[in-house]
Amino acid sequence: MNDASGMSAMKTAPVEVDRPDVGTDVERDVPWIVIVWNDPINLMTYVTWVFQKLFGYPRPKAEKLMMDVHTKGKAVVANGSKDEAERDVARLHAYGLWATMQKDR
Amino acid sequence: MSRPVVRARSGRFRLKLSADEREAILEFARQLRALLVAEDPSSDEAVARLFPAAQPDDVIENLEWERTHTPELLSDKLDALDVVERTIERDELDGQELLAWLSSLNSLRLVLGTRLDIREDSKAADFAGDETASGLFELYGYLTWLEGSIVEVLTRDLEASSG
Repeated sequence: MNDASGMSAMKTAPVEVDRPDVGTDVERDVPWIVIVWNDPINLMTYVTWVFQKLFGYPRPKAEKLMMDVHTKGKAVVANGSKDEAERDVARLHAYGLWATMQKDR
Repeated sequence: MSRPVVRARSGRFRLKLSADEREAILEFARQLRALLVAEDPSSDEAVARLFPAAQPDDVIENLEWERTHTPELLSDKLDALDVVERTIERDELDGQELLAWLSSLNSLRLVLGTRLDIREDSKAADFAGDETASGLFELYGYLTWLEGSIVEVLTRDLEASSG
């Protein structure tokens, strides 16, 4: 992910060596994706601008993602840890975009 | 029609709006504030559009999401409305104030558009039989035009600053 949203290095969780439940550790490593869904109200130019501003994406990438949202109904706009996905979804909601997150599997 | 929002020489943003336009925006801002501070805003479908579920299929996660994120999202929206109400008569805005206007206009369009059940191809004729709805659709179109102008200015700005 771009620098504008990439604070992942600061967010490394401590390793829990004596944790008996291995399944949970695996679970925690599953990457998450952030999806923006099409809606008939948000302006195409606005959605493009939000992608540029929030993620630091260059105009062509932001426009392509916007067009994917518009024509395919949704687009994956970011991915990362669960914390990162949550932060991105919250920021997209603050801009009025219809964003959700899910495990990438 | 000329552009309602332009970059001034001072670096600030000039608002070219009539008294009637300002009055309409202020009235809308006050109505949105009333909806947001209502006892249970999310029971209103149009207001709920401003607070989407992050994981729609997971009830537990969503309750947690609402608990941790909704208060901040709500207070951001109220802060943005404060700025609009405070600067409604101004001819120039700074960058932060313009972002607050953009945020409030976008929230207004989301609520109004949801109320009107706007589709991508909605047109005035769709609301012709209903005086209230056709009036609101006209205002929705006005807000769209104004928001579009702000986005245009901000996009140009973003690209100028990123080289």
